Amino acid sequence: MIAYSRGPARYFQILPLVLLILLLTIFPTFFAYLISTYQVRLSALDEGTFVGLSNFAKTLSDREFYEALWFSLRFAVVTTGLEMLVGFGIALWFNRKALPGKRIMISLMLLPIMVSPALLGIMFRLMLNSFVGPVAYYLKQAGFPGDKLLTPNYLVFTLILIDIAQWTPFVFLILYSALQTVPKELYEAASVDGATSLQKLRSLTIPLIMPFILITLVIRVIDSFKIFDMIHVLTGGGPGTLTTTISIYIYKMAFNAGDIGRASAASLILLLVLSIPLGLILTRIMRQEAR
Amino acid sequence: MQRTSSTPRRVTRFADNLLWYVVSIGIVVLFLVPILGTISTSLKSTRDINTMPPQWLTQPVLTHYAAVLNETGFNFKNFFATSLIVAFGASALVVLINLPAAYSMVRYGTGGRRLFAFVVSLRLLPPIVFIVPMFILFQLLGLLDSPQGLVLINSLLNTPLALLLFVGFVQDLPREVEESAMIDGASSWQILRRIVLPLLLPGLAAVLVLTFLWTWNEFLFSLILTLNKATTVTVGASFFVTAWGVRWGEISAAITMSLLPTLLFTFFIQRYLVSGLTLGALKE
Repeated sequence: MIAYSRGPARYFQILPLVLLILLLTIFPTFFAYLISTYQVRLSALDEGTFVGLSNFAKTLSDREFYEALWFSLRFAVVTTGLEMLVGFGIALWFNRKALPGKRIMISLMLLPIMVSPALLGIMFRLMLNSFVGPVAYYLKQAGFPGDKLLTPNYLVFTLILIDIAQWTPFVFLILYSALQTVPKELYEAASVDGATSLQKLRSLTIPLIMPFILITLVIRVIDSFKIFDMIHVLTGGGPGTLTTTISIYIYKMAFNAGDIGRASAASLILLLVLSIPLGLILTRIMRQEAR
Repeated sequence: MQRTSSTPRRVTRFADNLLWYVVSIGIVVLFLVPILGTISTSLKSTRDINTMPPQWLTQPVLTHYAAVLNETGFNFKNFFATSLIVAFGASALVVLINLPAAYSMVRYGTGGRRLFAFVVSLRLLPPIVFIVPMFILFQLLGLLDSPQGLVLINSLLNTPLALLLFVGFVQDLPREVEESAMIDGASSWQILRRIVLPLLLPGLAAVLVLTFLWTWNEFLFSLILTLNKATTVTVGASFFVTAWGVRWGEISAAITMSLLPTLLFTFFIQRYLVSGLTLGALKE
C-alpha cells in the first residue's frame, strides 16, 4: 500500500485531464465574467467598452429573458412528468414477463436515445409534413389535426411530443434496470400476505426504486430545461418568441443580435440559477463515490 | 407454488403472453416510427413519396442516395469525412486523457473526491453558457472551423461520462496483480500499460464507441464553431432542410446515412448506458 503512493507518475497521469478542464472550462468561465462587463459585438471583438454591470441590468429587466426561463421551466416539468409516467408504465409492462425476444425489443427501444436530437427534429419535420408526412396522414385519418401539428397553434404541443418520443426510452431503460434489482421473493411474500398488484406497486416497488426514480427525474428536468438542438432545428425559437427556451434566447442574443456582452451576462445568471440544483447533485455524486 | 396447471389456465397464460407480445411490439414500433419512416422515405421514388395515402413496400430505389453523394452545391462526402475524423479523434483523445486520470484517481487518490465530482458534474451544465467564451477562445487559438477544434471541444463534452466509467472499471479491477508487479519493480506506467490496459479493453471499447456516437451527434458547438470547412454530418443534414426545401427523398437519404453509426453501434454499448446515463448512480 505504501508503494502505491510513491513517485510523481500519479500527477503526470492526471495532468492532461487537469489541463483540458483548465483550458476549456475554468478559463472560459473567467472569460465569460470579463465579457459580461463589456459592451461588445460579435462582429467587432476588439472594440469593446467597459460598461460595468449594465449587461446584467439589461438582462434582468428584459421580459423576454424571463419568458424564456419560464418557457424552459414549464417545458422541462411537463416533458419530464409525462416521460416519467409513460417510461415507468412501459418498464412495468416489460418487467411482467421474461419471454424470448425481450432483449431484442429492449435494444431496439434504446435507439431513440442515441439519435442526434437535431436529426430527430428533422425526421419529425418530415413525418409531420402536411403533404408528404405519413404520421400527419394517419393522424388525420384517425380524426386528429395531424397535418396542423407544425402550425403555431399546436407547435408547443408537438415539441413536447417529440421530446417524449426521444427521452421516454431513457426513463424506461433506467427504471426497467431498477425494477430488475427488486428481489422476486419480496413479491411472493407480499402475495402470500394477500396484497393486490396495486398495493405491491405502491408499498413495495416504488419505495424500493425511489432513489432511481429521483435521479432520473433530476437528470431529465435538467436536460430538458437546457434543450437546444431539436427546437433550434424545428422552429429556431419562433414564431416570434413562442418556443424560445433559455438556451435559444442566449444563442439568439449572441449570434443573431450579436450582443455577446449581454449573452454572457444571461449565461452567468443562468449558471447562478442552476447552481442550487447542481450543487445538490454534486454532493450526491460525492456521497456515491464515498460508498 | 402450484405446478399443475389445468387446460383453461394454460389457455389464459397463452392469451396473456400473446397480449404481452402484441403490446410490447406495438410500443417498440411506435418509438421507432420516425427512424423507420425516414429510412423508408429515403428508399422511395419521389412520386411514391408524394403519393397519399403513404405507399409501403415499394420497390426500393437508391437515386436519392446517389443524388446526396454527388450533389455539387453541398459536399456531403466532406461532411461525412469531417465527422469521421472528429469522432475518431475525440474518442482517442478522451481515452488518452481519462484512462490514466481515472487510474491515478482510484489507485493513488489524486485530486480527491472533489476533482472527480467536479468533472462529472460538468455533464449537467447547459453547454450554451460556454458558447460565447468558447467562440472567442477558438478565435484566439485559430481553431475556428477546424477539425482539431471540434476534437478538443468534444473531448471536453465526453470527459465526464468517460471518467465516470473508467473510475468504475478501475475500481472493479483486482489489486493483487498490480501489487505483485509493483513488488517486482514495475513502474506505474508499466503497470498501467501492461496490466491495467489489457484488462480494461472491453470497457475501453465501450467508452470509444459512446464518445464516437455522441461526438457524431453533437450539434450546438459544431454549428457555432464551424463555418464551411469543418461542417459535420449532423449540422450538414440540418442545412439540407433549409437549402433543399421539399426534396424529402434527398433529405431522408442524408439523415439515414447520418444515422448509420447509431444503428450499427447502439447495441454494442447497451450494457454501459445505464451507469453512464445516471452518472453512476445505478450500476448494472
